[in-house]
Parts: sequence; structure tokens; C-alpha cells
Amino acid sequence: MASLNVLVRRHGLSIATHAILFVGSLVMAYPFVYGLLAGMSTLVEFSRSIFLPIPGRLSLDNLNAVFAGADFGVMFRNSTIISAWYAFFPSLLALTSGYAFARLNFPGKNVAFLLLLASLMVPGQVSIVPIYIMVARWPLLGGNNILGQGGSGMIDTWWALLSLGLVNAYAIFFVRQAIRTVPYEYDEAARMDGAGVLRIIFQIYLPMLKPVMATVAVLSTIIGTSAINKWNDYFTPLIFTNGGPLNTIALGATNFAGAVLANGQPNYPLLFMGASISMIPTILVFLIFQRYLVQGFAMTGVKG
Amino acid sequence: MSNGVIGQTGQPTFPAAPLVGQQGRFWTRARREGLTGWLLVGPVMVYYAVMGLIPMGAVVVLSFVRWTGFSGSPEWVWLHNYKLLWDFPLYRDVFVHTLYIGGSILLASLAISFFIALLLNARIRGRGIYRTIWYLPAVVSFAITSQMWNAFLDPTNGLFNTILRWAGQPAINWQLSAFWMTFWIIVLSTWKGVGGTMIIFLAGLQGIDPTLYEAGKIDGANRLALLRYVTLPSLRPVTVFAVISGMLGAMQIFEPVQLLTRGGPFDSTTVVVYSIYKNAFLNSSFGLASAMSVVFALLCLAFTVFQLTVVGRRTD
Repeated sequence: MASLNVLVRRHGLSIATHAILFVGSLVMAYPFVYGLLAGMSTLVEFSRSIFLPIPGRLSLDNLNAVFAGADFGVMFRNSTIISAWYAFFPSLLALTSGYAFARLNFPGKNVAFLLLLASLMVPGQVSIVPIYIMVARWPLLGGNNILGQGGSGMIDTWWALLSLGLVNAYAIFFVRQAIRTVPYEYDEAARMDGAGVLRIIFQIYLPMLKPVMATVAVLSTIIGTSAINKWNDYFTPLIFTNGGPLNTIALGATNFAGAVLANGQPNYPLLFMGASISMIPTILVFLIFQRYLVQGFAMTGVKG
Repeated sequence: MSNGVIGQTGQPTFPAAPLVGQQGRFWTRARREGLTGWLLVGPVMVYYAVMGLIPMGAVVVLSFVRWTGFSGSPEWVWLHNYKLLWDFPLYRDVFVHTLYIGGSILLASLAISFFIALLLNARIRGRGIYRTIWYLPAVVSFAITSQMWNAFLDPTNGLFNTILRWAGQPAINWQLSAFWMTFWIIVLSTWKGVGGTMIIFLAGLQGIDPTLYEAGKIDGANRLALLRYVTLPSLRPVTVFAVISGMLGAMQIFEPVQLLTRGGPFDSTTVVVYSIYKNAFLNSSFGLASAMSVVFALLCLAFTVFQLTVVGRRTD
């Protein structure tokens, strides 16, 4: 007993830490585990369950029913295209302009940078009404004439899904901060060797900024254009498309979950199966890239 | 380097002087650098002006008109839309709901994520796994998790009522209770948002100079004193960042309201972004939605500026 007392006194704090983290993690993970198990259960198994539904056997019935009930293949394809495009293009813009803001001197630089930062102070949704009008009245698209009349512009087209919000001030800001932590001698040495600005950006900074670029392009939940955020984006497709062939996972799986019925009741096992498979891609991408996340944030100068 | 800045370290804070031999030529080093800068930044700024600045100006103009958006032309009504916002408790309350729902989410996320980040910053076994699990809700769709919560809240065979019945308690019809739906929206949003804030605090904690702790220990400081005099002051800029991004996130919640309550019961969970969406795209009141957007933008701006100037002092 005495040795137990010593043990608790010496390691008490660490035991308490583990206990809190462990119980907390159970709470955080519970909805995922529940959803996955419920998604594999039959209706009877689900209705008999209390804390966790236990599927009696592994079967693909629910998975097949989900794919039969909605066009998940099209939704997965569309969301993949959108996420890949936003992971690539806005990050490229953030890298080049972030470099310019960090390292080059040009007239109007500070004004331009402050204007960009100003957009971080208000939520993007406040200008949704004018943006909707602009998108719907965009000239020469979707049956519109040169004055933007007559058709529906970019509404319900790929343009609305791929051309909005390409400039992200947070992304530019993060890249600029990260570049500023790198000693300027790298630039000087490269210039002495005759490297141009683009070469310096892509051959010297890009490899150094891997964690930051992974955070900006893929992982960040603050940066609206990161791949994970675009995969989960519900607002843009809701406002600018009518679903159909342009349906995305975030919108389509959500509508699917509200629509599947069994005996007039929502078919919860199918709902949870649809929800689970739509979450798997972002979780996998996160698991693959997560080692960059804290490092990426730390490099952006968001630190003590 | 050939232009006489050999001894220079760090970044030049002023355009480097033109090469002596090049004096009189138009393309001095400073001019070339300026052109490169604008070639890189120019397209970004043009896009930002069209998609960011012009709509921000337009929303102010639109807030002075009455317009259904498509049929008919806008009718100039001056401050009529703002008067509606002020006169009708229905609209005024939208801002009240946003403030206390958003505020509760923000406070809960900040407190929990700071505490968990402190625990995870210690060298404990399994830290990577814990961190991953705590961050998981942040990487999945808010809309789809909201639909899952809908299933949990089903009055007959939802998870929460199943557990209540198992514990011998009467089931609750969650969807009819303003208190419970507000509560569940706050719980769901906190569960969803806590990981993002935790990562910011973790990055901040790892950036603190370890020698500060060594010095503190030599001076005889205990754990609490180290937290009070080393950790907290060092985390000040990170905290300002976490508060601002967390506040903007919490005030913008839309999916749980759209998918769990549609603003109900009795409009008790109608928040600003949901109301803007409803007024503009379901009720076709573009002017009213714009006026609401302007007031919301000013509120957020005031809060951010307050954070940066009064609380933050030092920003970068």
C-alpha cells in the first residue's frame, strides 16, 4: 500500500492527465464510432441498441442501398474535383503573392496588404447577396447577354463552384509570415547564382515551406479554400447550384440523410452509412498529412 | 553582392540603391523589383477587388433599397430596412441569439481547447493519438454531423432519448424546446470547433522559449506560478488570434441551424447568417438581408478591432 501511495504521489498528475484525455477522447470519438456501427446495422439491430448498435454480421447491404439511393459516385467525383482545384490554385496564388509581400518592395505594398487583411475582420457571408447577384448576372455565361440579362449566369454551372473565393487572405498571410521567418541570405545567395524570382519561390522556398503549404492547401479548418474545407463546404453549393449533376458530397449526403425512409420513419442505418462514407475521405487525408499540421501553424508565426 | 550591400543581414527595409554603373538607366533594381512585385500581386488584387471589395461596397448600397432580387427594379427606401431591423423584435432578436449562442460556443471552445492543449503539451505517452482524436470533428462536414445529430435527437428512437429511457427517465421532445435546441446547437458546435482552437494553442505552446521555464524553476516557481507568469503572457498573441478566428467562426454558424431547427422552435435559434440566407433566398428580401449583413459586419469589425487594439496591443 505504501508503494501505491508513492506511485500515486509521484505519478498522480500524469495519471490524472491520462484519465482526462482518455475520457475526453471517448466523448469526441463517440459520434464517429456510433455512426460507423449504426451504418452497418440492420433496422432491427439499430432499434434494439442503447449506447452502441452492434451489427450482427459484416455485410455490404447498407452500402449498396446508399449507392442505389443517391448518386454518391457523381457526388464524390464533383467534390474531388472542387477540393483538388482549391488545394492547388489558391495555394499557388498564396505562395507567389505571399513571397512578394514578404520579400519584394513595390509601391502600394502596405496598402494592398492591409486591404487584404481587412477581409479577415468580417465573415465572408456578409456579402453573399451582392455576390449572388453578380454570379447570376455575369455577362455572356449561362444564357446572359453582354449586359448580364436574360439567363442565369454562373448559377448552376461549374463556374460558380470553381471561380469563387480563389483569393484567401489567411492563406497569403500565413505564407508571408512563414517566409519572413526564413533568413534573407537564402534569397541573396540564390540571386548571386542568377536565379529569378520564380525560381527562388519554387525551388528554394516551396521545399522549405512544405508543412505550411500542406496546412494552407489541405488541412487548415480556418482557411476556407483548404481541400478539407471545400470538401465540407455546404453553403456554396446550397446557394449557387440546384444539386443534380453538380451535387457535392456535403450537400448531397446531407439531403440524402433527410430523405431516406423506412416505414415512414427515417432509415437511420442508411443515414449513418451515408454520413460515414462521406466523412472517410477527409479523415484519411487528415491522417496522412497531420504530421505537418502543428509544424505548419508553428512556422506561420502563430506562436508565443 | 555587387551593389554594395554585402554586410546586410535580415531583410532590406528600404529599396536597395540602384547600381552605381546603372545610374541614368530606367530599369533600376528598385523598379525591376517593383514590377515583379506587382506582376505577382496584381492579379490577386484585381480578383480581390472584384470578388471582395466591390461586393462589400454593394451590400451597403443594397441595404438602402427594397428589391425582390429578380423581378422588378430596386426601389430606393433610404433607412427603411434598418428601421425594420430596429422595430421588429423578430429581427432584433436574431442578433441577440447570435451573440449568446456564438458567445457560449466561443467561451466553451476556448476554455476546453486551452486546457486540453496544456495537457497535450506535456511529454505523455499516446499524445499523437489523443491529438488526432480531438481534432477529428474539425475535419468532417458540419452539415453531415448536423444530420447525425438530427438522428440522435429523434424523439422516439434517437440516441439521447434511448439513453434517457435506459436510465429510467422520461423521454424529452427536444425539437419542441427552445432551451434544449439552443443547448444542443452549442454542444454540437463546440464539439466541432474545439480541435481547431486546440491546434492553435498547441502551436503557440510549442513556440514558447524553454529557457523561460528553466529560469522560472531556478527562481523557485511552482507549476501554477510558471503557468501564470510564463505560459499565459507568452500565449497572448496566439490567444488574440484564437479569439478572433473563433469568434468569427462561432458567429457564422449556419449548418446546425439550417439542418437541426430551421431557426425554431419559435425563432429561438435564428442566428444572423441563417436569417440573411432566409430573407435573401427564401423570402426574396434582398434589401433587408443586406441591411442585416451590414449591421453584422459592423458588429464583427468592432469586436475584432477591440481584440486587436485593447486586448492584443501587439500584433503581427
